[in-house]
Amino acid sequence: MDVIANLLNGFMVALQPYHLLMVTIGGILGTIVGMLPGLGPATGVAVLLPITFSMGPTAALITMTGVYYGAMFGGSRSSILINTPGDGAALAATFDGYPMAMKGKAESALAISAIASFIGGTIAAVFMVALATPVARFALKFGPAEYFLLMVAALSMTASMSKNNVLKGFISMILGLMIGTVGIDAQSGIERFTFGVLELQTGIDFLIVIIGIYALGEVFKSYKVINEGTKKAQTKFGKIWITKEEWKKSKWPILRSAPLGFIIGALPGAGGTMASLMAYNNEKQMSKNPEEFGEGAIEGLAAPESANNAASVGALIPMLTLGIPGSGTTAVMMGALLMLGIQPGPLLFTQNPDIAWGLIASMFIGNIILAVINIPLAGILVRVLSIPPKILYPIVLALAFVGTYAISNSVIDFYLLILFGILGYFMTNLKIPTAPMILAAIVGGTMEQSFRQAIKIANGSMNIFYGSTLAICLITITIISIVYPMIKEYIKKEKITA
Amino acid sequence: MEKVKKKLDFNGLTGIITLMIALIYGLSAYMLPKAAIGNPNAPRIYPLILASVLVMLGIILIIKSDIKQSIASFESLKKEASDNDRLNWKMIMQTSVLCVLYAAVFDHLGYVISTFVFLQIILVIINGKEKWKINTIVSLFFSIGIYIIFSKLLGIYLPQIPYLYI
Repeated sequence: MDVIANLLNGFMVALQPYHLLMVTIGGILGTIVGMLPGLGPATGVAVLLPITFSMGPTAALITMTGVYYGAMFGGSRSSILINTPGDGAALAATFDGYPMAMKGKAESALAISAIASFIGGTIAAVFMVALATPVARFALKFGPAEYFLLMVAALSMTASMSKNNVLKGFISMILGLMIGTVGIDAQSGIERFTFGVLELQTGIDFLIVIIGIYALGEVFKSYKVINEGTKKAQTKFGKIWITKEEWKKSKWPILRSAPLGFIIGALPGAGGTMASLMAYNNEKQMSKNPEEFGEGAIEGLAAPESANNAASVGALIPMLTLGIPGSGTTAVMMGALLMLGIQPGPLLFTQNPDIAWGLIASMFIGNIILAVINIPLAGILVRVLSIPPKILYPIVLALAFVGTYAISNSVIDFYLLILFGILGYFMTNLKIPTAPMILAAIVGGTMEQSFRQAIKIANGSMNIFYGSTLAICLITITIISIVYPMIKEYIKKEKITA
Repeated sequence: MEKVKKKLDFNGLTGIITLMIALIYGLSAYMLPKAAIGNPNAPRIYPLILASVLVMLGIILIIKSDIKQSIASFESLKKEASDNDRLNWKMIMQTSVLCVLYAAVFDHLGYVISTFVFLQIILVIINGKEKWKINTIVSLFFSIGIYIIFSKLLGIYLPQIPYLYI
C-alpha cells in the first residue's frame, strides 16, 4: 500500500499546473531536438539541461522527463518522414514507417507511432512502480565490495554488447574510467593527472564529456549528411489518426512488445536499439504475412515504437535504484540528477521519496502529454523538419557551449568540450563505441572509491571481492558477459569455415 | 565505393594508439606522489590496474589485426577521398579552430558579441555566404535571445558586453 500512497503523492506533485506546463515545454523542446537527424534523447537532454538550472529539483526533473520523452517521440517523426532516425533506438521505425509515409499513409504512421509509444511507455511505467521499491531495498544490502562488482558487471555488460567489436567496447570503457580518475583524489588529497591545470583539480565533469561527444561529435558527423544533401519532409497532412482495421492489426504487437522492451531496457547495455530491433524481428516471425514487413506494415512500426518507449522506462530502473546508468541516455539523465544535487541509488527512495515518486508519476503524465502534443500538433511540429539543418546544427553547437558555461562558469571547459567532440568523432570513425566510455566516466569516481573502501574494510586483502554469495554471482555475470561474445564469435567463424 | 569502404580496417592503428595512451597514463600514474596518510600506494593502485588492462586490450587488438591492412587502408583513404570527404574534413577543421577562438574571446568580448560572431562564421561555413541575410538574422536573434533567457529569466550568469555592462 505504501507504493500506492507514494505514487499518489507523486501525482499530486506532478499535476501541479506549473509542473504540467514545464513537462509540456520540455516535451516540445525535446521533440524539436529529437527530430534533428542524428540527435537523439541523449543529446536533447544534454543540450537542454541548462534551462532547468534555476528550477527546484522536482520541477527540473519533471522538465527533463518531458525532454527525454519528447526527444524519443521526435526521433520517430524524422524516421517516418525523412527516413533518418534521430538515434539508434528510432532506427527500427524507419523499416516500415518510411515506406508507409511513401505510400501516402504518413498520417496513420505518425498516429500509430505516438499511440504505440504512449501505450508502451505507460505499461512499462506500471512495471516500474511495482519493481522500483523491491530493487532499491535489495540494493541496500550491498557493501562497497558488492557495489564495486555490480558496477564492473554493468560496465562489462555494456561493453560486451557493443556492436562491431567487443574489444573496442572494453577499450572505450577503460578510457572512460581513466577520465574518472582525473582530479584531486578524495581519500588522500593527491592531485592526479591534472597536469598543473587548476580547473582540472575538481575532475572532468562528465556532463562535458557527454555534451562534447553527443552534441559536438554528432554535429561533426552530420557534416557528411549536410554535404550530401537532405531529404524534404512532407509537411501537409490530413487528419492524423488510424483506422479501426489498423488498430486491430497493431493492438497485440504493441501489447506484446511493451514487456519485452521493458526487460531489455532494464538490462545494462542493451537499451532501446536492441529492444526495438528485437520487437521488430519478433513480430516479423510471428506474422502471417512476413513479406509485408519492410513494405509499410503497420505492425512493423507499432511494435518497435512500443518496445522502444518501454525500454526507455526500464532503463531508468538501474539508474534510479542502483545509481548505475545502463545507456547513454540514462547516463545523461543521471548527470542531470547529480547536477541538481540528487544522488540516484537505493537511498533515493527512502530519503527523497517525493523526488523519486514525482519522477515516476511524471513519466505517466509526460506520456499522456507527449501523445497529445504529437497527434493533433504533429502537423505543426514537423515543420521543424523543413527548417534547413544547415541552420539548426550551428544552433546546436552554440547551445552546447552556453550549456557548458552554465554548468561550470569556466571557459577552460570549452577546450575540453572541443577535445571530447573531436574524440567522439574519431571514435565513431574508428568504430569504437562511445556509450561504454560515457557510462564509465560517470560511475568511474564512485567505482574507485568503493574499490578502495572495500579493501580498507578487509584490511588490505582482496578476499572481500569474493567473500559473499552476492559477490560471486556478480563475478559470474561479469565473466559470462566477457566470455559469451567470444563463444558466439567462435561459433560464427566455425560455421563460415565449415 | 561501398565495397572499398567496408574493407577499411584501422584496428591495428587503433591498437597502437590504445597502447600509447595506456603507457603514458600508466607511467604518469606510477610517478604519482605517495599518499601521506594510509597506504602510501593507495592513490595509484587503481589507475595502475586500469593502465595494465588497457595495455592488455591494446596488445590483443594489435595481435588480432593486420597492421599492413591498416596502413593500406590509410593510404587508400588518402588517395580515394572524394571531394565530399575532403569538404567534411575541411569543415570539421574550420569548426574546431573556430570553437577554440570562440573560447579564447568568450570572457573578453562578452556572450552576445562573441556568440554573434561565432554563429555568423559557422553559418558561413555550413550554410554558405550567399545566405548572409538569414545567417545574420539567426545569429542576432540567437545571441540576444539566449542572453536574455539565461541571464535575465533564468538567472544564470553569462559574460556581459564590455564597457556597457548590460
